Amino acid sequence: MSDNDLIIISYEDRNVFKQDSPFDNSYIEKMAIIELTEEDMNKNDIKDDENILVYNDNGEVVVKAKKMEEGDVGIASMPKGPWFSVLLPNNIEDFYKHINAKIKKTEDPITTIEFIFD
Amino acid sequence: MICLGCSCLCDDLEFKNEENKITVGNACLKGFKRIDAFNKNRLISSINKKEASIDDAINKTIEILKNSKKSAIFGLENSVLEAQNESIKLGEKTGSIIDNFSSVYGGYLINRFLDGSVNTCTLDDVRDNCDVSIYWGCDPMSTHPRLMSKFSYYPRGKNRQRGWEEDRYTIAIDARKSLTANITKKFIKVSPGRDFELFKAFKDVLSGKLPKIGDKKLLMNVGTSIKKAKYGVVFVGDGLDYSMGYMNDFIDLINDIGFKLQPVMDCIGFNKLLFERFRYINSIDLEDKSYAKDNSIFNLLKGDDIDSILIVESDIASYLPHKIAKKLKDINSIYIGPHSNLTAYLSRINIPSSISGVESGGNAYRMDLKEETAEKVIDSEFLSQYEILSRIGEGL
Amino acid sequence: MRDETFIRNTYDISYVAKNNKLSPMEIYKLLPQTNCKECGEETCMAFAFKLLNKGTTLDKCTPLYEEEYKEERKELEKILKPIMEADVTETGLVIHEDLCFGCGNCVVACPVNVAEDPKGCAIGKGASSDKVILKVENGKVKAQNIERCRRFGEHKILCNACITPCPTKAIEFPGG
Repeated sequence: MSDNDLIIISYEDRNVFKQDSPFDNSYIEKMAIIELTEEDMNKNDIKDDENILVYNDNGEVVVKAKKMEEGDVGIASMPKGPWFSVLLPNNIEDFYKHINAKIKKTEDPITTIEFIFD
Repeated sequence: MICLGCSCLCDDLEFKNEENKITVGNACLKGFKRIDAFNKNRLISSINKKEASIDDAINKTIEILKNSKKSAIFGLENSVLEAQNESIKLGEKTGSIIDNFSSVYGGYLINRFLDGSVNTCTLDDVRDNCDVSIYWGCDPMSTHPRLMSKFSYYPRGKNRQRGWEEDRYTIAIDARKSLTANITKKFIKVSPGRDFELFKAFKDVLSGKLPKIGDKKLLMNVGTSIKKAKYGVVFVGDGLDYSMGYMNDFIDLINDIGFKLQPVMDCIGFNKLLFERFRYINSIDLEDKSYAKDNSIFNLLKGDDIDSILIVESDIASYLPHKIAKKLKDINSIYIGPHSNLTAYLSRINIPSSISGVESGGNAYRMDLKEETAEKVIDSEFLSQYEILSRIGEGL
Repeated sequence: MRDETFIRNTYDISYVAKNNKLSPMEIYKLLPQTNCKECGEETCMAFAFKLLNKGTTLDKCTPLYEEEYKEERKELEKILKPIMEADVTETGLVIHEDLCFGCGNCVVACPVNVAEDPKGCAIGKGASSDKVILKVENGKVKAQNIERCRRFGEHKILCNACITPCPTKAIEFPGG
């Protein structure tokens, strides 16, 4: 279990709709995820659907790891939304740069919205 | 019916309501969900998390705005022009700052799109003439699902009769293989935030030099297609803003290759309205009609300049850094919209509205600024956003 | 619990998507191969074809439900599940509704739709004629008039016009 630096890029998930409630299980299943390449998963001893801690100077969040169909080693992606927002910097100058974060295997449950925002 | 689900504003929806069973023909899933969700996850009128009547919630809002030293109005990207105009009126009355999502993503490009410094065209022109389209930092298949089937790739157009295989060439440029990249003829992957290197590489290719970075063969190949293009269009989205600081280079490149620009963003209609009135598209202080970067939602919530904010149908809290979004809990925040979301959850007052273009009518601009009129198709008790905003305005 | 079903569904779809070659032969191999005619078909191979095109169901093969074929039955249920759940038409056209999001690329690209509906599908609009094959309803594409499909009938050709433009591989012809 070693820490690993990743670049995280964000995207809009076509399966998430503005009308969805952020407290629905189906919303959490779609949004509280990080997609990783197989190599990055192996490097960190993470399997598909396991919970992982994603963290950087701005915050930390537990999400589910998903295997990326095709991608580059060292680049992960997360859907734009409440979980990704935990990793965003507070300065608008840095806001538009890509996000760096580390990952770690964890037994902790997926971070809830209440926990992030209360 | 007209669909206000995204800025494609599809005009060919077939709506049927038989014995309370709704059927919608031709709408994409995004558009269908907007209509179908008329009885799902609706916002409940509340004050400080306690259910309240709409009248009480509106009166409380009036009281807050009366006592506010400085307030802001945010959102309305997916609203109708009538409500957008009413929000400006309200903002002028209260001397509020008015801002929208374009201050977070896409603002610079939309500004250039509106100020006439780059070539543009209508989506109907795209359908009839476009032979080369580039999707740069945008994924219309996810965000504007029918853009490519209705206009830019698959349809037969007046001067594009032979179909997409022969008549249209498409290139996706993105940091990840998006749904759009799955179907375009070429896909150029850029490292996150390195788009500007590609501007230079393209410039080299177009002036007959070898590109210094990337897959040289692919870039030469794409460069040749761009040079040969008779009617080229570049669609741009949020993804490109990561290369801020190089935006002028990007616009120069588009002008150099003689392509047209089309931002694929939803707030463009409201931006046009603000631009025509104030020459700015966002971050405007309506007290003195001035623009300042500090008036953007990001900086407003980070600082202490405002003590209240009125947000209309925009889930901004899901997009901002969570520490900044949390600020909504510390100031008098009012959320107006048809459905509940994270922004509503963090706001102190919730006022439910009808779904624009479904439960109430109104006008709206398509992404190419064509105006359409949407009509009400479902009866509901909910007030429209226009009605809510004008009631607040009258109460002041 | 919820998690599990979500994951399983995704897995099954990818199984079909990646195993385009799911052929009558693969199904046949798992059948009793006795040509007992219990299912109403002449041969087990004919039954396999019908299964693939959704013309019959697995329970028609009664011997499969005997202890001897328990393993085969389980495997068959697994590989056929995505096809049985999907909307399969007479030409073998499968629409995976959970992957489709109604973009209409196939509706506009289908050559039959274009020919039948010059003022609608042909110019990018939704279907305005009853004679089209593909039409989007409630955000998902539906197939109708399937006898007009170029893959149907005596002079059929292996047309791919609806498959290539689909960004999520929601349309396929598993039979090939």
